This record gives sequence, structure tokens and C-alpha cells, in this order.
Amino acid sequence: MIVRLTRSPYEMIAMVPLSPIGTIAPRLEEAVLRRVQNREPAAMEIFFEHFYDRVYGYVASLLRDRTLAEDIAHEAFLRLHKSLEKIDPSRDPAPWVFTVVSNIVRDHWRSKTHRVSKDSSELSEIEELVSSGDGQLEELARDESAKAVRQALGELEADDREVILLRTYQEMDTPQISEILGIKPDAVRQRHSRAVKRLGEIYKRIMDDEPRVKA
Amino acid sequence: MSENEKQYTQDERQALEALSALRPAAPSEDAKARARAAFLSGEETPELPKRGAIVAMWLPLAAAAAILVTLFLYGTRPTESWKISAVVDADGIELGTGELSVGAEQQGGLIVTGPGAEVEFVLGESLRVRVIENSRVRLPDAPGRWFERDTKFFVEAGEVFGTSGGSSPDFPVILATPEAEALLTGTTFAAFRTPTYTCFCLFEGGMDITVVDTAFSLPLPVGNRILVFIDGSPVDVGPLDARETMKLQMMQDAGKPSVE
Repeated sequence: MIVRLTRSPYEMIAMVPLSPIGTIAPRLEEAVLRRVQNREPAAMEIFFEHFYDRVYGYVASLLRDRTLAEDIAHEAFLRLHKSLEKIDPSRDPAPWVFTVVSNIVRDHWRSKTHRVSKDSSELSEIEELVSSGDGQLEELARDESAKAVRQALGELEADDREVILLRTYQEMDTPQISEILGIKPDAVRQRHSRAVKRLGEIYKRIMDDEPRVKA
Repeated sequence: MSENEKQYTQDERQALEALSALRPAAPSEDAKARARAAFLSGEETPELPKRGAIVAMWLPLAAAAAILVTLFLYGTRPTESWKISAVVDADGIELGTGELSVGAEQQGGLIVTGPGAEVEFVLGESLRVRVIENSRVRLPDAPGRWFERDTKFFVEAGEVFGTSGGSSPDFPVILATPEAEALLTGTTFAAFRTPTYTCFCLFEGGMDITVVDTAFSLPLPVGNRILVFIDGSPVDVGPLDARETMKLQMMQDAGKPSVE
């Protein structure tokens, strides 16, 4: 998609539909990124709109906490602002953005706050995600497979959940995830393989335990 | 879909398909707006309190303010009001309670008595005050229930004397003239003002005298009077004279003023 900065940023944003999972919007044009690098407000608006929902959705799914996701997304964009000159306009900035996000998430995991919140019921956090989405989310929530996979995702270790979300939600490839998580590509493949295996096991267990809804 | 797709089991594939069908949670508009502002400006934006939080924040303050206003309004309302208990007309004839007679009139809070006229006021059971002839005395508002309880008689000319019966009044009573003030802690007192001096008399109890615009103050001994001169001459403290003593003694004994 070609983005012309002669139009208002909001018009251009309207041209880019927010992406459901699996259909991440095309990467930003190099010209836009150069303008972001120069801190041009209109281009920064585009950058923000391109990434904010993705960042928020990723963190909310990863941490199972909407308020915390808002705080971390906020902090992430503050940090991005401070280092916009580090953008390489010739590359997709997504790995850079998610590296910043992942660093904040890791800081949170290391914090005392996380250790306390981890003791709280993850189930209630998952239910919050289920019950507070838009219409489509509500519809999916009624579907037992959607419920099962949410629960399965919640039961995964954080590291496993992280790599699954980056691969499945953000459509990152192995080199990008490697860059974001700071681990070798082989480690990414192993972790992803392990995470998918566990996700499938938990998902099957939940589906087998759940009474089936007759069609 | 994935590099490892070929290796997936049926359960894994179903789980991933179910996961792919989900949509991530949507952010709130408030949070997004704050993050946008922070990103564009590079400055931390204070979190806007949510509407519920605003209500929650202001509700106790509003309730407390309403209670304070109510308490203040209620607390400043007088528990009692002044009543005319006796009137003596210009001919010296006691008329009892009722309207002010010819020779004495009330101009707002100012009581003006002509030659021969007197008027007496009572405030509940606690205070009885008499304004004698040829006086100009500003009668204070009755003390409030909890606030604004000071009761200050301002004697412009003439004389006022009174009693609070056998016990001290439960609110501050101040006798004032342009030259001096007396905080009454006793029960039977008089204050009068002539063209040359102010005089405070104490028959029983206590009275703290303060001379206006000076640092001079003293507690007046029982049975004494103090003269504060208008020209600034040194004050003069001495025993009550026979006439004043008799008058205050009568008030003290009878518990109500007697007409001379």
C-alpha cells in the first residue's frame, strides 16, 4: 500500500483496516519511516496507529491483564519515542517495536509486582478477556474451541506463550522472533515446537473434559 | 502457515487454528489516547481519572462539604432569641413585657432610650440585661448553637447592666465601648459610658479588661470598677460606689432587674 503524506493521517489510517489475527497489516513504507525518524507528527500518527493495537493485543494476551497491557503499551511507546532515530527505514520496524515491548514485559516479570499478580487467578483474567471483547469475540467465546484454546494459552508457561503469540498473532518469522527475544534461531524453533506441543496437549485435555455441545 | 506445520499433530493443528481465529483484546480509547499523546510528545501524560473515579473522588468531598455547610448553618442558628421582659416608660411607669414604649425604641440592633425610659431583655434562662435611660446600646445577635457564640454588647452611651443568675453564661459575653472591652466571666456586671470615660463594674464573678489599641489588660477584682478615660489618661481602678453596689446587689438577689 502506498501512503501519501499529503492526506491527513486519519484518512490514511482509515485506509489501513485493523488486522485480525493472521492478517497483519502490510509493513509501513520506507518513506513513512523516514518521516517518523525525523519525528514528523503526521508520520508518527501513522506509526502509532499501525502498531498500538498490535502491541496492546499482544501484551494483553501474553499477560492476561488488560490494565497492565495498557500500562506496558504506554511505556513502550514512550520508549519508542525516545529512540526513533534508531529506526532503519529500509527494514520492517516490527521486530524493533516488539523488542522494546518484550524488554518491558521482561522487566515486569522480574518485578515484585508480577510475582504478586501471578498468584491471582489466571482463569478470571482469561474470562475477562473473553467477556469484554467486541461482538465477534463474544461470538467466538461461545464456541467451545475458542474457550479451550484461551484456557490452554493461559496455562502455558510465559516463555511458551510469548513465542506462540509472536508467531501466530504477529506472524513473525524465526529470525524476527530471534531478534525480539534475543535468542538463537534454533532456540526459537525448539521453543516454538515445544510450545505448540504443550498447547495441543492442553487443548485436547480441555476439549476431552468439556461436555460437548450438540449441534 | 508455519515452518513446522508439517510436523503438527491433529490436536496441535486444531489448537493453532482455534488460536488464529481469535482476535486480541481491543484497547480502551482513553488508554490509546494517552499513549498517542505520550508517543507524539515524548512526555508522560498523567492518567486521566475515569468518570467513575471522578465521582468516587468528589462524592465524599461533596458530602463532607454539604455536611459542613449544614452544620455551620445549623450551628450558627441561635438557640434562643432576645425577648423584651420589661419596659419603663418616660414617666417612670413600669409597663411589663410588651412593645417598646414612647421614649425607648429599637433601631435594628440598636436600643435607644430617652430620659426616664428603660428596657430589659432576656435571653432564655441564661442572661438578663437592662438598658437604662439616655442610652444607646447595640444588642448583639443571640449566640449560635455551636458557632459564632460570642455575644458582644456595644455601649455607645449610657449604661447597661445585667446578670446571668447564679452561674456563668455558657457563651462568651463581651461588653464593649470605643475605649475598652470586658470579657465577662462573672455573673453580675455593669458597663456605662460618659462623655469622659468608660466604666466597667463587677459585682460577682470575673471580668478581663482590655483597653483598645493598647497592650493594657487586667482582670478586674470582684467588687471593683475600672475607669478607662477617653483622653487616654491612666485607668483608674477602685471599689464600686454605694449606688452601683446597691443596684447590682438588687439584681443579684432578685435574679431580675429592679426598677430604681
